[in-house]
Amino acid sequence: MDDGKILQLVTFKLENEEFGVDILKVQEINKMMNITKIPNAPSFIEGVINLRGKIIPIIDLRKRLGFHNRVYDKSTRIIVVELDGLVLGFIVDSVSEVLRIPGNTIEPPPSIVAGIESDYIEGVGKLNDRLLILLELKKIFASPERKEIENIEMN
Amino acid sequence: MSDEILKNDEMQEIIDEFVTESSELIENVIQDVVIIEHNPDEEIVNGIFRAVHTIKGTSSFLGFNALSQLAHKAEDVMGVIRKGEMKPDQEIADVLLEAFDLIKLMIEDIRAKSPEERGTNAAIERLEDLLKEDRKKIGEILVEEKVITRDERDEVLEKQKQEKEKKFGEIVVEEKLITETQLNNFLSKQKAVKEEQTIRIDVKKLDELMNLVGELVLGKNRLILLDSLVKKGSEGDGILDNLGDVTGYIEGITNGLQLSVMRARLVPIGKLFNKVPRQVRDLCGEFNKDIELKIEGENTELDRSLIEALHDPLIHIIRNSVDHGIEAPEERMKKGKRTKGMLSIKAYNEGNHVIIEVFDDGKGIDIQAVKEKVKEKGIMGDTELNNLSEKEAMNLIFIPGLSTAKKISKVSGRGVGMDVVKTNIEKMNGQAYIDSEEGKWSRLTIRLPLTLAIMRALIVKITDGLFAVPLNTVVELVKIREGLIKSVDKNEVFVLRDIVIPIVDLSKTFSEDGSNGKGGYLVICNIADKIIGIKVHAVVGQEEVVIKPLGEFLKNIKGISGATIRGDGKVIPILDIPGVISSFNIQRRMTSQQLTAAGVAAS
Repeated sequence: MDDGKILQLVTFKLENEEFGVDILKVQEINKMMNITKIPNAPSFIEGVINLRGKIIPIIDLRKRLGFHNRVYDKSTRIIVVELDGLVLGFIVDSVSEVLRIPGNTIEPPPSIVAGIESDYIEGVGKLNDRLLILLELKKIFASPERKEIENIEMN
Repeated sequence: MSDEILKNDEMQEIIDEFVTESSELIENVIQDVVIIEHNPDEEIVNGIFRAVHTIKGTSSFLGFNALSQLAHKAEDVMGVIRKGEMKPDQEIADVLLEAFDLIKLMIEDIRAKSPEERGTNAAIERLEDLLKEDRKKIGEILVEEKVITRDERDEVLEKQKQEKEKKFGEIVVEEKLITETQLNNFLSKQKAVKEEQTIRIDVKKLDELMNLVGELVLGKNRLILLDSLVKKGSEGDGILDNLGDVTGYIEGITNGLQLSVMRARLVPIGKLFNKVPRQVRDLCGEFNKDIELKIEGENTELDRSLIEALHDPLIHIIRNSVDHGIEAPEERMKKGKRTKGMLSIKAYNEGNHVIIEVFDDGKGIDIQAVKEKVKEKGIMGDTELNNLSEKEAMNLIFIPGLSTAKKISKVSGRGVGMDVVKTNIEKMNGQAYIDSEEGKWSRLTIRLPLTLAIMRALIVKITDGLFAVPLNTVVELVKIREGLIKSVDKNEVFVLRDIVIPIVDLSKTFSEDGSNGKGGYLVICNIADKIIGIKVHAVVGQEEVVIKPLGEFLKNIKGISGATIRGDGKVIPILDIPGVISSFNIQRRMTSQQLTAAGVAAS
């Protein structure tokens, strides 16, 4: 982490944990939309949506990170991000706020945080008495899973 | 330069295209050389190498020999840089730029149809100097790495003076000072080069589009006017009538736009195939082969960008067939084959794919040689290789840097060809695979999806989800009645006019609860020689749909080729019938006996 830098994060909730992603990666935040399921897609891919004429995949972050399923409600949001030119959305329980925090308050992840593999975590931010988990989006949607997606069979 | 070619009208078109393409390529190359001087990025180096390779190849078969020779030497130098044996410092970049500037001038000459005698010898000599120097350098590296001693190196250099054809590395390997694997360790994997982002379009077609857009703007203005009227609160039939008018008007324009854009993008593949006879003729002369060429399906239409992207792969494939595939007449006679070799190129539509087949009745693929090469390069071990099926082993030839040719010739055998083919095809979301019978024939098949295309589809309902079935695969619809479907074990079939048609129930794989609804229809789909009946719960109707890719993330899902957005904004997946059939066959093969039994019993 660059110590002197101020990070701007979009924070959101899953279960009781608070997460953050770099605001520069976030393209937009949407209310829950009509999701079309795609047969044979990996289980954590909820389906696809029509985002102004473009079809983008939607990932259920709860499933991806191993939390229990939860019924979508009024506060459910889809955060649309762009990773290396790939646009995708992921579902979160609710979006909280945009935070500015100094880079030096972010520490490297302990080996296990809230049951999530530390590979997926870029760091943990401390804010007064709150803990903020910074997600490494690239890893979450990266190679082994892409491989998995490529290898999907009909059955 | 060949005047005889320039006179020919048909050739002129090909040459024009070569000029446009090559000047784009060389422009980029010149910029890229400046970049690699400071930052020898592997991908950019590969890009330059391939661009020069293409210019060399095309100019050679068009008969621009001086240009081809210069490009050939430049390619050699780029090849050395690509292997990591040479660092492109300022001196090297200067020589390369000189050569590329000269190539650019020569291409301009061709465009202006004023062939001028430009001395390429000086530039070629300087490029050759670089290569000599490089030999010294690789020798030094090996000495530094203590792989060989200084004396050994001098010995090799001495030998090289006698055998100028050979590269330093080759001699070192021959002398068993190092293994070829060691030498090849630096061969890095090739990565996809950025595709040309520009397409050329006839000005007339552009004007046509502009006209339509202009009309669309008028339509928009009418809509805005209506909107403001409604907001003001005026009501009545007048507005409704008007709205109907505008809707009809915009519908008409949209249809026109759709057609124009499609027409602007689609070109018959003949445009690409036109170049083939000439190329084959020249190659035959060069390699002393006698080949009969057959071309079929020139009228198959393909998206313009696909045609352009297919150009290089096709050239490589044909070269490979002529050079390595089809044997020389004497050899063929000995083998008891017809002395005239046969090369056939065929294009056709299959569902929403275009298939291009290049078939030759040459010596086929020597699987053992391919396997050995793979082992030698250290790409796979014995166990892995033994586990491969014959077909998988053949397709190893697509691995970058692999060439089973013993010597490097002007047109092929650098191990560039086949992996360029595969990367290019895959960039288009297509597949390339090879079939062969050793000693008899080989067939390279390219399967390209018609992305961007608009097609007619049958919208059906499977459990709760809507799906689009490409209409060109649908033969007929059959209403499911009691007793129509015969069930054997867990597999269902039914008999339609004496043909046993296997039934696919996608609800089992496509929906979570897998509920098997009663009633509904069978959609009979036919692709090539295969026929299936897909069980659907309801048929919604026919629609014209725009195929949208599902994106990087979901692109290889079996049974689904893409999706489309309907009028109400809903996304519906498009079924990929060949995909459904192929995954269905895997299930079926296990019970084929039962299937036959069922067929007999039912008829």
